[in-house]
Amino acid sequence: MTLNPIRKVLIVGGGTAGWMTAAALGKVLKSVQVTLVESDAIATVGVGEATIPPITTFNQLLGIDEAAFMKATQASFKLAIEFVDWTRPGSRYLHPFGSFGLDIEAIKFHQLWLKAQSLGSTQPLDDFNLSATAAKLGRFMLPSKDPGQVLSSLKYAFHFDAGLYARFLRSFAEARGVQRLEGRVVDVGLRGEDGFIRSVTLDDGRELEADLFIDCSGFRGLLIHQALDTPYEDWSHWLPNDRAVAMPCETAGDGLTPYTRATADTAGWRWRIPLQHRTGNGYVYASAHLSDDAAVARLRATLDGPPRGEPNFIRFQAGRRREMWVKNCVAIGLASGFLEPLESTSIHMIQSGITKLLALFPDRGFDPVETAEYNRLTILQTELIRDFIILHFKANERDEPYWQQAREMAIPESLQRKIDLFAARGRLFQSDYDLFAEPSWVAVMLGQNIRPRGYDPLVDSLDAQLVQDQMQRLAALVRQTAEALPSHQAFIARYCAASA
Amino acid sequence: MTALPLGRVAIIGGGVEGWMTAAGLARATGGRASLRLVETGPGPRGALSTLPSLRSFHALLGLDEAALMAATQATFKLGTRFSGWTPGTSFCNAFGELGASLEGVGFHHYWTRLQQAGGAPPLDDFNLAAVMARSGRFSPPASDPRSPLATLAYGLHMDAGAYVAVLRDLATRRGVAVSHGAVGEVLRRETGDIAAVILAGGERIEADLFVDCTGAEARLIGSEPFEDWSSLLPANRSLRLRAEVRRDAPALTEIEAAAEGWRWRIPLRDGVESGLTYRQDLTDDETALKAARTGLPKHGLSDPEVTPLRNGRRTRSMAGNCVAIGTSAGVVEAMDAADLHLVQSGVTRLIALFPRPGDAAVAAAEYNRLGEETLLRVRDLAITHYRLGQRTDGALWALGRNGPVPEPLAYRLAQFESRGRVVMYDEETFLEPHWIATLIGHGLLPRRYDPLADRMPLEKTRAMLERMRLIFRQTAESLPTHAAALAGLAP
Repeated sequence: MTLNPIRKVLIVGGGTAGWMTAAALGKVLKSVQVTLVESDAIATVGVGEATIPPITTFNQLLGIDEAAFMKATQASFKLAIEFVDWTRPGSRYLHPFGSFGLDIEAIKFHQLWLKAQSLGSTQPLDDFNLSATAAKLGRFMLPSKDPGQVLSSLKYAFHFDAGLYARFLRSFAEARGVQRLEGRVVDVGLRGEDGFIRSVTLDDGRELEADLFIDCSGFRGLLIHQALDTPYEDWSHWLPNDRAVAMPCETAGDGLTPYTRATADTAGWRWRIPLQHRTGNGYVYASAHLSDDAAVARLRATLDGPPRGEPNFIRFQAGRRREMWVKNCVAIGLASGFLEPLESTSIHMIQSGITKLLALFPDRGFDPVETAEYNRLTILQTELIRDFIILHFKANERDEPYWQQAREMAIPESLQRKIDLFAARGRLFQSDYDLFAEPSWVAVMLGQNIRPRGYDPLVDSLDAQLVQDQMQRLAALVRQTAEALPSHQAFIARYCAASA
Repeated sequence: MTALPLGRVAIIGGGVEGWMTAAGLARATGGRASLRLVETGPGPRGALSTLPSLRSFHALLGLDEAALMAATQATFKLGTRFSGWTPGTSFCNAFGELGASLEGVGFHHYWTRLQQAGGAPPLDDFNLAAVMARSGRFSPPASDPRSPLATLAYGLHMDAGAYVAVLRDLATRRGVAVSHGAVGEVLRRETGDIAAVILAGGERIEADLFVDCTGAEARLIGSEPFEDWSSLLPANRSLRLRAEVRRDAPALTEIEAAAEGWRWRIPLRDGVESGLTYRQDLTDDETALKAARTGLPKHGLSDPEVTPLRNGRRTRSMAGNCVAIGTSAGVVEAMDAADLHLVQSGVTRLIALFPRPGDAAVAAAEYNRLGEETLLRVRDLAITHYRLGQRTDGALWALGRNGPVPEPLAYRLAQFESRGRVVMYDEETFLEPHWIATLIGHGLLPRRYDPLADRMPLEKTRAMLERMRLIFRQTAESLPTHAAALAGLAP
């Protein structure tokens, strides 16, 4: 037996981060008492949320039934993000899930495509990705498990109502022994000898002790920041957006699209996330370039349908805690850092924090090796995501001062190296820790109009006619497969229709 | 003659490194580059011990494995047995999986738990390849994913000269031209690029890209600074000889530590190569020869071949229009048999980043970054053997044990020692099971294990491990012997 096992875990804060953590710990740690304290008086940030495919792994860890979860959260499927007006007004591209085409030996498919383009082909790269093709047609079906079928290449995630998701996970967690306490944390008691957290005190005077504390209190960072004073590394020189305003509306316009839309605007970008019962919208912007009033006015003016509810303002600062795990406190979610949700990474970073915490679960001795490894991995992963987000802003051709600044800013060396390599011959080399695989980088590099000056010279060693025929067959197969799918709307109606 | 679209490539140096490069480039460029290899000296002698990854290179080249094995006196390799690194101990670093992770917790955590609760069987018993090798068996991996044989992987032991002959034949049939002669002079442009190499016989070799496969001499890349690792890895010389012995050896490379250095034994079909890696100021060549001959018959031995060894690397292996592949780029003493893998990874990287006018600098930066990472991780594993061994009978071992430990390795060792955490970096040649087997094999037992392993009752853990051990033993015993597997290969 481990000599000093953790007996009690206290999660401070509900919301998406808190309840995802509670659900996972409740499921996996059977002999540990898990408590979550939250206050109904404190609003959570959660708005309409978009996710990325690894979320299905989290659902599997929990053993969640997908249709039931989608029904409970008014969820829809997501196959891609559509980026509108990003390089310049009128431009549009998809960043789909899944990969493009089939590599031939050591040669990447997008290199074959680059060569075809250089010879005058205008066929979009999206034609070789089933998720993209189905997204454009508004179709959806669950992927086939038979790897011989084109339909097996479909990759998907979800859009859902984060408030309902937290509620769904809450009943999941409570059914597995997680105790929920209502209350507001007013004080944090530290141990004199080592500065570890001993307890938190609630507004009604109750004092809660635990061995391990999880800070899911959001931007405030009640434990990691306010009690343990962990500094924040500011990334606003790369990512200057510091506000968002959210406002849902009636579903209209393009309706229940199986993709998220991110539209560039004067001083930031707007999201559109279609759910079953409504459409989530928001405007992420830089307060130095746009007033709150102007942002709301712009958001209202661009809604698909009549607004549902008042605007909800959120303030933030891009960056990360210098350490996410300090002493006996692990910050998960917004308390650990923030990257704007341009690539729907917020929930994934929560999931990734939980997975790492389980892989490095400590004992009461809190050996510094667990802490060091957790922080090393989190920082590595977060910085790779950061680079990917910065790429969207750096490579633009828009006129506004906000976008000019983004274009001219110095970027991290790690990203500059990637851009240079891609701009030369479309080459990319991946870190094992990068959440976004090569096809994602290809989609966004090309989408942001970084056109390689040449292609991999080895492509010319392949039989050009054979390659061209194969590409044509593949595109036709992808197209036929997508066209045979039911509409997204119809599939949801059959699979997971929520009550209105 | 009209210029080919991918230009002219000159590979300077034959041997395994040069011919692997030539065969790989011939396959990848498909006749769109003009390739010439210069054989600068006699072909190699000696035996090769390879990792499973080389088989994917052979697949890329379209080499038939059975024919290759027949031509190269090859035997199968399921792993490496390290013995004597701490006196009286041995362990097997076999390919394939180690046990099986249960409920998301790595196998070695359960093993550690059992170990702490009063003792566990040797870790080797939970690696099917190790169990097979120990009992003299062999099987290729099964294609049925449910079979315990599905996770197997194997490398090869081959005669180096014969391997070169196979590659040479393949490459020349695919259009690689051959010149002969030692490198006389290297002519450079003002930019530092190589304009031509003049051979001793006077032949002038011009090319757009020069590949330095001249080994430790580094005739082309030698103008780049060398980062010396002799304080990290103490050996600087090796000696090898071949013994004609016919005996059914297990499918293993043997790496045995002795007072003078570490001895290797590579089994071939009609002989065995024995060698010693040592340090010249501590062991003279005659003593080294005696050590290398230990356990071999008195007769039927080849003349020994002594080679200097300099652990370290060129700070840039691609510079201007020159790229170094193999030992000209960097050397790590080869107890982990990564030497051919490093050549392969250099060739593959060159194919992926084939430089062309206009993008050479960008390609070189990435080539060098990836190559450096790859080599450093291999180096760290080599240091690990010295660091963890507990021999007290030779100054070499004290030097190796007490040398500085690079920070990424120190971090890795501390993580494992504390709680069995296996840290993996980018560009690793050796994956988790390999590191675990090495660390535990050398006696670095984690102080703690993943507490989530405690979710399974101890008795159940014990029973599961016992069952796994039994299945592996029974599976191994049901397989043909290594000798039978070799005899059954259709050439």
